Amino acid sequence: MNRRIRLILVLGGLLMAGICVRLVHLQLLQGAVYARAAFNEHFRLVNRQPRRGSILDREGRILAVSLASDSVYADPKIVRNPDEVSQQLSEILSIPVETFAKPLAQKNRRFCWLARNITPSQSEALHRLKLHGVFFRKESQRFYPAGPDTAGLIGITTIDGEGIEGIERTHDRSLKGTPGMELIAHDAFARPYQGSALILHDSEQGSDVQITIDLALQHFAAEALRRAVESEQASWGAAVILNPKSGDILAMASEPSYEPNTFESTSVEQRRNHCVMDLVEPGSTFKAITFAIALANRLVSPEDTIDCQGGSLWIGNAHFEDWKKFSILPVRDVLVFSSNVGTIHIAHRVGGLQLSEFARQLGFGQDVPVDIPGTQSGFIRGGPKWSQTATASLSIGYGVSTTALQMATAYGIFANGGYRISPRLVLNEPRPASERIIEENAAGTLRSLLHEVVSRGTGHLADPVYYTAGGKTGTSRRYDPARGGYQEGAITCLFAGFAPADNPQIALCIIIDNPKHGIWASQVAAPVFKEIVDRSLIYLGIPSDKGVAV
Amino acid sequence: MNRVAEPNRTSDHGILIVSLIMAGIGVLMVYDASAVSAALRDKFSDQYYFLFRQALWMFVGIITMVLMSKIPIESIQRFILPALLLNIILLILVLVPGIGVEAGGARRWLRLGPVSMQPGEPIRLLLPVYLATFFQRRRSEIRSFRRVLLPVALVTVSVAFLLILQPKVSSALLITVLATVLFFVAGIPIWQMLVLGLSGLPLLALNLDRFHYIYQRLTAWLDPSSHVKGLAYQSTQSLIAIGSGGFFGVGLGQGRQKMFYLPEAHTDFIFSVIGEELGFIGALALLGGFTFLFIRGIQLSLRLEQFVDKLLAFAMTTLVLFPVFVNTMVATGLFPVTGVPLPLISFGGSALVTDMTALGILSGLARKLPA
Repeated sequence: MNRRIRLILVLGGLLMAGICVRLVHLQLLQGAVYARAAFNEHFRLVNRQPRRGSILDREGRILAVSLASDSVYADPKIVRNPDEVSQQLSEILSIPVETFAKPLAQKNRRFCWLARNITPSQSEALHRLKLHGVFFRKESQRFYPAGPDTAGLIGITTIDGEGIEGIERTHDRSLKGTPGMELIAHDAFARPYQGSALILHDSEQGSDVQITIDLALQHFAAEALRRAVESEQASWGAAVILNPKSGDILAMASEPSYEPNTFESTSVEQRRNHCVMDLVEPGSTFKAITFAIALANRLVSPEDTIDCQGGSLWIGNAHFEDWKKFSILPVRDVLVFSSNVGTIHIAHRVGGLQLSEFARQLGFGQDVPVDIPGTQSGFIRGGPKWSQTATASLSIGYGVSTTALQMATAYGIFANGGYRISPRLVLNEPRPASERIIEENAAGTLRSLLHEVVSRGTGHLADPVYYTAGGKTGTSRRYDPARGGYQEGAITCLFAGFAPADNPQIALCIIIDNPKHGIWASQVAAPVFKEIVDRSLIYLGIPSDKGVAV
Repeated sequence: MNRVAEPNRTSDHGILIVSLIMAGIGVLMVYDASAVSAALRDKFSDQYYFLFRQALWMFVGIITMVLMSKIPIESIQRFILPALLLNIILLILVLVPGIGVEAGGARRWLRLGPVSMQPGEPIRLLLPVYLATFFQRRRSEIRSFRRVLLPVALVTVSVAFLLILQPKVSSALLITVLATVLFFVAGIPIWQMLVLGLSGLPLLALNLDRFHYIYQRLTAWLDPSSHVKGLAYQSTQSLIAIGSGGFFGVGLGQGRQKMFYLPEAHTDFIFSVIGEELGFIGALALLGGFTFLFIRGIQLSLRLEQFVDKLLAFAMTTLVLFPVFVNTMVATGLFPVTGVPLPLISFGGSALVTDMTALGILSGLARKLPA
């Protein structure tokens, strides 16, 4: 009997020895291999998303900011009772049940989003339910406090934080920051467990971008413009405010706008920044350019007289008309009452080539050094040889196209005494040295003429209550790019100007495209100018120069 | 009555102490391996869920172990037949829907108020004690097929059959092997066992469906690459756990394989957790403890003089330590995956109490050693 027992003892000893040899093999010889396998299985490398930088206005007020938010996702395989979970999610998030029922029913999937960027109270309510298989992820959500007022300018990001329009797009790289790298330990169901993260290199926060916009002025511009575009049922409107001395863009409003905090339902078309993306023919606002070069070259003086020929002029088969049968007018009144015929006569003294070259110096047809996607540079039609007709057209603002920003820039140059302006949108960007392009006296004369346009001429509806102002209306036939021709009965209304008249602090251009009621810019665009000037200058603390108590 | 040598009169304290230490390590490792999953699972939501239960059962085990080491084996043998019959009745009851608690597709538990037990565990102890008692009574006829092997084989096969019905095939196989080894040591001719075994094979063939998953596990073991996501998963994860432990281990409580990579980390694969956290050193120390119990028990069996005492000591030793071989061989990939827990260490109250009782009996048998 003891022989048989000993046999079992030996067998057991052999087995035990075999197990020990196996342990030597697994743990000592192959240990490194299994350690690597374990590492690969237990950890995953994850990007650490940096916080996106904010966009601030010139006073440091927030225009766009990233807020921490929760997103909810599920592991459908381990969700118990998907119907009940869908019902609970639906009640808390106010989203239809069907949205959750379908993804949760896919039992072989291990991941599905339930809702991105939910509110803190929703998140709290969901956390309290402790739903099995429902998880949360910290994300950040972009928030635009000024909403539609700044939407067209600031642009938007995708839900994953990619800037796709406006400043968000052009400054995406610096706003975005640098993602870091993190080693996260997770369980067999890929769920990270607490306190398990090892940061390999941290993310670098995105830097803030401070722009030249003043949120208050932006709001004044957006509000006045919105009201005009709505009451006129216009196709679109644009309003730009510049500081004529620095070239800083103080406001850039575009209508119709959209709610950037819920932009998903809008189209690219709706999100256009009309201030820089749309070109119009400037019409009579361009007469100031014709006058500027004529005055600078001393070809006319305000007291000269011009025969306006009863407001009708034929050049070849081209017929130019005035809105009124003017006969002989002083040069100043040609501008003040906006005579086409008178302006054409002055332009012929200047010459087409000279006029177009001067316009280019002011920035027409030139690239605008502003970093907004889709910014147009416009054009001036015509080559080195200028016919009388072409010169005539250009002098009254046809055959040339401009954006609201370009026109505001030109009037800014008149306002600042004749120095070139390089519009600037980002604060702290270097400014090029200023360079005179209009002789000082000519600029002063033009400013006083433009003041008269507002005080007693076609622009009287633009006359602010508290401040003097200079400016010019422009009503042009609406060019329809779809049909390649002018659209019968449709117009584009402009008003460009500055205020106060003697020492301008702001230069503006308002465009209202395709208004359905008004037929003159003096009715449609001038009142918008007036409202914006009054509110902006009061806000900026500029004392009234009309002696009206503010 | 024959004059016997002056009895030793003291139980084997080495066996008691080592068993106690091992069970203590078991409680610690059960907590270590189960805390996270116990805290996360809604059913428990308590990291101490398994710790509390295992500690309680260890306490019960200590009482029975000490008790068994004190009382004479004859008084246990006197009640062995009714005890075995009761256990067999429980094994039948556990199969009855409404009485047996179903979990994971098997009926293994009986619930009596707040406690539940697996009748499949004590049978591991009662059957060998019964068989040893039976052989003692018919020692003179030990070579008679009809009088000895046939009846004990029938009892063993019936018990195994009841276990298969739960189903708990691993326990059935284990108990069959244990009984067979006991037949062998008792002196039953090998040719008889061979004939009986071979004649039983056609029975298995009739039931091949049931054994299909055993076949699958076998192929998964032989060719893990074909089953990486399926059956070989458990084995692969166990190897990763043990292998990544290296020489010193990743540190107590620092293991990551218990984060649901290892299925049943606190029961069938607790050895893998130990290998990962305590390394080669820890695994070797644990095996050292088992080896001590094994050699000590077999030595006791060799030195005892009475036929029945030798048989009982041998039976107690093998019933506790055979599962150790199976479990650690499964964990190290030397044997196909079967659900055999690691004695004294793995979570499970019925098994712990059974093993500690057996070790108590083994320790008590030392009192019969010649001085």
